[in-house]
Amino acid sequence: MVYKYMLIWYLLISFQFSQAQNTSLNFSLEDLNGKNRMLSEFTDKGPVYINFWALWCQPCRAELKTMQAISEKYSEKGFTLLAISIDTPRSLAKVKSFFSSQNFTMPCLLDPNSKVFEKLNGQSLPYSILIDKSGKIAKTRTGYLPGDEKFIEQDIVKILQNE
Amino acid sequence: MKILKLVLIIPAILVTNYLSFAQSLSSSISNNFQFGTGFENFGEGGFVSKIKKEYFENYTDARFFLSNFTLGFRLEVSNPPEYGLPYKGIRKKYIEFEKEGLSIRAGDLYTLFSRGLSLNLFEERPLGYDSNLEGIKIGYSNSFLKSELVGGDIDFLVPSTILTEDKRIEKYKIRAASLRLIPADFFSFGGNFVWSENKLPNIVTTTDTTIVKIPEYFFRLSLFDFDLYASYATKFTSISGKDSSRGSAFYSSLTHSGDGFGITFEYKDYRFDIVDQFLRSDPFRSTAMLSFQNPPIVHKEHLFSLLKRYPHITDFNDEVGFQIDAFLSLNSQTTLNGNIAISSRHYEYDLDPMTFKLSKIESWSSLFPSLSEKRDPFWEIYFDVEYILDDNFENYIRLAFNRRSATVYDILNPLSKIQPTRLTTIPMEIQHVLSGSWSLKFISESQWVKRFPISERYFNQLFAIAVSKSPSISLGIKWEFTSSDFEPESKKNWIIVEGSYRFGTNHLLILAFGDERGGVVCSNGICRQVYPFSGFRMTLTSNI
Repeated sequence: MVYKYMLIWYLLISFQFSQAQNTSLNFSLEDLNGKNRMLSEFTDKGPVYINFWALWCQPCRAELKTMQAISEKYSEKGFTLLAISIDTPRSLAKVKSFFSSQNFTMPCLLDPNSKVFEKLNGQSLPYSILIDKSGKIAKTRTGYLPGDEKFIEQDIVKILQNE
Repeated sequence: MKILKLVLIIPAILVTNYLSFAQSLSSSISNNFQFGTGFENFGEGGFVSKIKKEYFENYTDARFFLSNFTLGFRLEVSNPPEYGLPYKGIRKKYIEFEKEGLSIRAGDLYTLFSRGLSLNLFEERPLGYDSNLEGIKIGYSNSFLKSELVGGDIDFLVPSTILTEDKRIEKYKIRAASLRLIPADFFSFGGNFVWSENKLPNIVTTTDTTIVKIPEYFFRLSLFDFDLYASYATKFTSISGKDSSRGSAFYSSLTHSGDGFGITFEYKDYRFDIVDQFLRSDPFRSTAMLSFQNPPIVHKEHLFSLLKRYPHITDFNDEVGFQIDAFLSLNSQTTLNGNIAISSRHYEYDLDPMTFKLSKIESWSSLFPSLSEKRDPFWEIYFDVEYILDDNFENYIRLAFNRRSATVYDILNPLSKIQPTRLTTIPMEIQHVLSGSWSLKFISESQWVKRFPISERYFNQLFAIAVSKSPSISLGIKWEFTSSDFEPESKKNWIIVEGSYRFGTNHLLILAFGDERGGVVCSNGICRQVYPFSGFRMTLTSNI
């Protein structure tokens, strides 16, 4: 059984490495006002940094705060910081209240059933994805440590220069 | 189920076949590996049993995308798992088609209707909770409506029976529909309907067949800076074609969000199955709320370790209460968060000492929570302030205060009728960036506990310190102390060393060695007892 498992696992990994990420990503979720928003609305303008977060995740809240400043710095070049909350119904009602209290200007979408989070490979928080203008995934990032924002900014600059 | 398997397998083969030649194929694979070895401790005081604990789990989630199709599955080896039943093989298989608002998914699936009063299917692996449905889901949405049809079967293993010999497996056959109309941006309304045929093991080793119907109505109104949401569900149960019962649940939230300020008021009135203390002692009664339902808990989910311990466990069958939660930014550096939550059972009961019967005292006040000890009140006050010391949001200090009280009234036990727990907790967290990418985090949590009749008073203290170097390394040590005499092995101290290393941006390795105190772990109103553990743990999370 273990060998069978390892074989399937090996085939999966080999397959994964042989493939290029050449399919454009798109999905639709509701925003804090209940309006349906498509990812393509944001990627049409330029690269998008998707930041999955939840109220109960302290590092996520720290990352959102640091990313807000970076987002403002590059918004004129078409860059969008897109927050996606995966708060379930147990804390969903408080998301809008928290967001407005922090004076965040980035759009926030709601994924209470983690449908998009899981589809995009999310396993734990914080989890972020940098998407280029064509909707392809340029980089993913698991976890957040103070100082990571410098590396994230480098990635954003690189992708803006390439476009 | 054979037809369902064919429905799954044939398109899967066709799609996979096509995929192998396609140029526009993409895929995503994530992997989670967990290993642990050590000892778990049961019991307390001098009555302790220590058993060897070892687990080995690997979950590989694979998804293949081609045009509008997604094919997904999980390759799992959990032998033995940390918590749950051993499994080796492929599970969580599905195929999904999505185009222009239409989505069709066949196979294993989860879904959520509104806020979960009638249907909320999800997986919480650390709790061994999995209400996975095997069936079909068809959804359609546009700017005016959102709809969903769901049909299939759930074989639900009750997490609290995982470690027992007689594991409880509840079987549900579900047909459900949801419709939400959005006539204007500021207003939407709709209804859900769930029908299910259930086979529920009962206390005398036979099985109850129940038919349940749950209609639910809801609306949302957003005007100016206010958001109002309300939802009402009724549950009709007929057992083995004979007895019937009726329960209901109401949930509402009102949010006001202004500039630098936000406040949320949430109210719950869950009365799916109000029964007296005799009947309450059977948590698996067939008239109780079912495992595919999971409404909001309406009290705070805490960030600090000691506040997560001794949680309030929401009784969805009989609980009324509210929560007020507010955030306020005084300036760009200072944020305040305050929370008040109160809940209780709906009614008091009288005991007739001659007949030993309990009778419910009807009262209009059942619409509001009460602090009367006969209604098992729970209340909590939480307050925290976060002060940021620099422009980069890297150096900060957070100070919190929590006072919590939970009372269990035991009308049948004259010696210890009232069993209250009172807790006061003061957590503090400081983060300081040393230079460049090095940072230091210090956490202190002090907690005073008063429990009756187990122990009069005791004190818990937690200190944690972690050093991190972005983007890859973090190393920390956590020390917890208690003055309680009722811990397994009469232990007073727990020390654990933790470290993590991130390879690139997609692989995170976490190692931990030492003693963990354990306690009750909760999520979504579902809780399980985690036993104290001494040993080594390793987790490797990868996005490939």
